[in-house]
Amino acid sequence: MTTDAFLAARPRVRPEVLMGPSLVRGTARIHLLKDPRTGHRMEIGPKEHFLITRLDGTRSLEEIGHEYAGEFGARLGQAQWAQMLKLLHGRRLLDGGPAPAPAASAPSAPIQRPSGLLAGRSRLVADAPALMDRLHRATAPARRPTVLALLTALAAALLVAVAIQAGTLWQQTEHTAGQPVLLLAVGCVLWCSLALHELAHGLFARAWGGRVTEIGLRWILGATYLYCEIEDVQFLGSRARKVATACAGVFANLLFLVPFYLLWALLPSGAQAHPALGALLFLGAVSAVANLLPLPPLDGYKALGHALGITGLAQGSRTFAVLAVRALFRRGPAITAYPARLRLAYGGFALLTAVQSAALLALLGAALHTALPDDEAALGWWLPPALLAAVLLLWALGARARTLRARNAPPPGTTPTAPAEIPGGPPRPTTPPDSPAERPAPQGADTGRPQSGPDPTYHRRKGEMSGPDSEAEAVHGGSATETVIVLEGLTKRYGEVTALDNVSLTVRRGEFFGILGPNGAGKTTLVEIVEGMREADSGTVTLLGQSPWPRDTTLLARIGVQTQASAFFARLTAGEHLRTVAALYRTDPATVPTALKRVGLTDKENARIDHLSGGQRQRLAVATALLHEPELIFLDEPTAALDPEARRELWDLLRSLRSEGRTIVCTTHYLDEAEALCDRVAIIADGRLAALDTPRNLIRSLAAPARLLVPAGRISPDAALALEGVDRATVEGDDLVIETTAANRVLTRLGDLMDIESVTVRTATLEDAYLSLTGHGTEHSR
Amino acid sequence: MSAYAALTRATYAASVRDKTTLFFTFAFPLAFLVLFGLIFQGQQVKGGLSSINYIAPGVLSWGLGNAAVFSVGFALMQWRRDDLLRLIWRTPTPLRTLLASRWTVALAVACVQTVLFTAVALLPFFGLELNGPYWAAVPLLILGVTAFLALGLLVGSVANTPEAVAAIANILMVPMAFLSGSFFPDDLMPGWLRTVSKVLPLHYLNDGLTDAMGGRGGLGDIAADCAGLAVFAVIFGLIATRIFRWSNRT
Repeated sequence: MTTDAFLAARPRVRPEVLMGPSLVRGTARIHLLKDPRTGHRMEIGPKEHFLITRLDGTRSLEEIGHEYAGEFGARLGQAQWAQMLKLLHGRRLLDGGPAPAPAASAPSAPIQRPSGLLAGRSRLVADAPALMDRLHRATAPARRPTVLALLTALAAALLVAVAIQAGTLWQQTEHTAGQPVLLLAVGCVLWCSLALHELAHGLFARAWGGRVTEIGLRWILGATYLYCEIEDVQFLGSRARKVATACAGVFANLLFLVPFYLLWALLPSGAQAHPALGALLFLGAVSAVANLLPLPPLDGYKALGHALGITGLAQGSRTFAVLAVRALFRRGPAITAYPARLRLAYGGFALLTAVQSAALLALLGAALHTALPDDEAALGWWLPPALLAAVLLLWALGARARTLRARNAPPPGTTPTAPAEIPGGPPRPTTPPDSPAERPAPQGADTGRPQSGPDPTYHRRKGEMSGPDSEAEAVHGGSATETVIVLEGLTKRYGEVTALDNVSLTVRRGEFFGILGPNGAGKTTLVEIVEGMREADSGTVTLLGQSPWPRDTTLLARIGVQTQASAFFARLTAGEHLRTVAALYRTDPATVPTALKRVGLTDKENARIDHLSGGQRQRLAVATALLHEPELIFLDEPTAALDPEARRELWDLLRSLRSEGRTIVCTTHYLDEAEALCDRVAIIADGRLAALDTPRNLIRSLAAPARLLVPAGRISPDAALALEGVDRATVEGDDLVIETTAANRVLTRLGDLMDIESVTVRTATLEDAYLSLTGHGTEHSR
Repeated sequence: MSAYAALTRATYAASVRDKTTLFFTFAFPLAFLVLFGLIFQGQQVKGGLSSINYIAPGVLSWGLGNAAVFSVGFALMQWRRDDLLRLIWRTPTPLRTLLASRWTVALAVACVQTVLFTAVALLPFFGLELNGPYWAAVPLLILGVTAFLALGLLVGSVANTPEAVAAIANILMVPMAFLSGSFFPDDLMPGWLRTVSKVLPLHYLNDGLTDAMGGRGGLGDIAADCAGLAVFAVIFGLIATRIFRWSNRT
C-alpha cells in the first residue's frame, strides 16, 4: 500500500466502545476505555485519547494527523499510525476487525487468595446482577426525585436530632457499654445496617448503569461483613453520580436508624430498651459520619477522589509529599511537574490526613486514658501512637518483602489495563495483553482433536471394528429380536428449550448401544427419562416391557446405572462402599468380592476411595452398577477424563460385560470409543435423532474421500494436484493432505515418487460422520 | 445387613474418619466452655445460680445444634452434588431409611458430646453441679437433635457448594447462639430481647437444658421447651420435604 492510500484510509473505532472519564493519576492525565462486549478495560493517555475519539470513520488518517500536529506539535508518519492501528487492532477495538469473543467470566477478575479460617470470602448470591435487577425494580418508587429528597431530608433530620441529643445518647451509650449482652445486641443490629450499606452502594451504581458482580461474606480475624462488588464505578457518568454512589452507604445507614429513633423518642425514658436504642442511635450515627472522613479506605475518601477527578489520591499525595519534603531540603527534583491545582489537591490531602490521624490518635489516647486504671493511665497517651508506628513498620516490611519477591519471580502475563502511552511524539509499540480470553479460539479440524495422534482410529479400526459385529451375531443371534428399550415419539421441553424432539428408537437385548451427541444435545435427559427419573412431555417409553414412570423400584432393580465419576460414599473404602450399595439394593453382600474381581480391584478392597486413581474410580463405579446383576446397564461417559491406558482397560471390561449377554447403553462424546465398542450408534443433535445405524454404515453412508498424509516438502501441492485422481491438495501443519476418492491409484503414483512408507492413509471415521450429521462442519465440539 | 444398618455404618465410618469435623464437634465447644467459663468465673446471676450453671448448658446446646446442622447440611449437599442421592433413588431403599440412619448417628454424636461436655464441666475448676432433673435432658436432646437436623436438611437443600453451606449455617447459628443466650447467662438479657429469642429453636434447647442441668426450673418448664422444639422440628421438617431435591440438575 502506498503512503497516500494509507493516509487516506478512514478506519473506525467500534462505536460501542465506551469512553470513560478523564482522570488524574499522579501528574498524568489518563482516560478510561471499556469494551462492553468483552468487559475489558484499559487506560490510555491523552494522545491516544485524542486519536481514538477522532477515528470515527468520517475522517481520514491524514486529517487526524493534521489536527494532532496542531494540538501536540508532532507529526504522525505512516510508521506511527501503523503502530497505533496495530495496537487498536490487537485490542480488537477497530471496526471490521475480528469480533471479540464475549468474555463469559469477569475478564479481569483479581487473583483471589484462598479462603482460610482467619480471613477469606464466600459468595452468597449465585447471580448477583439478577438480584440487583430485582432490587432495582423493587426500589423504583424510592428513586422518584420527590421521594429521594424526602429521604435525604429524613437522613439529615436524624443527624441533627442525634447531634442535639448527643449528651443523653452518650450517657445511654456509656450505660449500655457496662452490659456486654446489650452491647452485643446493638452490635448485631449495626451489622445488619452495614449489610444494607453495601447494598445501597450497589443499588445506586445499578441505577446509573453500573454492574454488581458479586455479593458475599468476608471474614477477617473473626469479624465478618457483607460486601457488594461493583464493576466500573468510574463509568457511571458525571462526578456527582460517582460521589453519590460513594455516599450511598452512609445514606442507607442513616435511614436505617430513623425507625429506631422514632421508637427511642416514643418509648418512655424508663423503658428497658431505651438505653440500648440510645446506644444504637449514637453508635450508628457516629460510625456513619466517621465513614465520611476522607481517609482511605473509607467512603469519604472515595467520594473525595471522585469529586476531584483524581484516581489513587492517597498514593499520589504520598508521592507528592515525599517529593515536596525532598525539594525543601534541595535533595531531589523540584515539584514543578505538578500544576498549581494538583499541588493544592495533593498537598491539601496530605495535610488533611496528617491532621485527621493526629486527631484520631489524640481521641483514642483520651479514651484509653479515661478507661485504664489510674496508675496505668499514662499508657493511654503513648499506646495508640506506638501501635500506629508498629503497624506502619509491619506494613513497610511487608511491602519490602513483596517487592523483593516480585523481583525474584516476574509475574507471568501482563495486567489487563497496561497503559498504552505515547510519552513523547510518536507512539511507541505496546504489546497487547496476551490473556487467554483474547486469543482467538482454535479452529479447524486438526487443531481441536481430542486425541493426541492424528489417526489412532484408523489403525485400530482394522482389527477391532469387525470384532464386535461378528461376535454380536455369533453370541446373541437368537435373541437379537427381543427389545429392551422402546422409545416412540419422545419429546421433552424445559421451558423454551426442547431437550428431546420426537425421538424414536429401539435397543435390542445384548446390544452395545451408543448415544452420541454434543454437550447439551439431550443425551442425559434421554437416559433420565428411560430410567424413570423424569417424565416425558409426550411419547412413550417401554423399559424391559414396562413403563418406567413413575419410579418403579422392581424395574430399577433390573437396571444398573453408572453415573459420572464421584457417586461414592465419602471416606469409605472400596469394599465398604460396595457393601453399602449392596445393602441398599438388598442383595447378598457376597456379590461384592465378585464385582471387585470382575473390575480388577480385588487388591483395592480395603483402600480408601479418595486414594484411588481416576481409572480405578471409574472401574469402581462400573462395579457399583453391576452389584445387583442387572440385565441392562447405562453408562454415562464412562471414560471421561481417563488417560489412554486406563481407557483401554475400561474398554476391555465393557467388552467382557457385553460378551456376558448384558445390554449396554453408553453415552459418550468420544467418537473413537463409540466406533470401537458400539454395535449401533444413535447420534442426537439438538434433541433430534440425527442418525441411527452401525458405525460402519454411518461412515459408509458418508462416502467421504480418503485423506492421504504426506510429509510436507516431499511433493508440492501443485505437483500432487497434477496426479490423476487427486481432488484436493492442501498443506496442513507438517503434512500435505491429499484428498481422493481413488486412494489406491493415487498411492501407486505416490509410490513412484517417494517412499510409500511415509504416506499415512486416513479413511473417513465415525468422527467425520458425526460432524457432518451434527452440522458442525469441520469444527470440533468437545 | 439391612439398608438402615448399612447406611448408619457408612455414616458412622465417614464421621469418625473426618478429623476436622470431629474437632469442631467435640473440642470446639470445650474451648468455648473454657473461654466463657473464665470470663464469667465465680459470678452469681441474680436468680441465685452460679454462672457456670448457665454457661455449660448454653454452650452445650450451641454445640449440639451446630453439630447437627453442619453435619447434615454438608452431607446432603455433598450427596446431591456427587449424585449419591440419585444412586439411592434407584435402589428400593426409601428416603426415610436414609434420614433415619442420619438421625441415629446425629443422636449418638449428641449423646457423646453431652456426656463428654458435662464430665468436663463437672470438674472442680468449672464447678458445675447437677442439681436439676438432669434425666429430663434426654427428651430435650432427642427433640433438639431432630429440630436442628431438619434445619440442616433445609440448609443442605438450599446450598449447592460447601462454602454456601458454611455461610448459610453460620449466618443462622451464630446470631442465634448470641440471641438465645448460649454464651452468657440469658437471665442477664433485657426482657424484650428474651421475647425476641422465643422465635429461635436454640432458645428452647438452651432454656430446657439450663432448667434440667442447672436446676433453674421445674419439669413443667422443661415440658414447654420440649413442645417448642417439637414445633420447630415439624416446621423445619415440613419445609425441608417441600424443598428437597434429588439432583442439582433442573
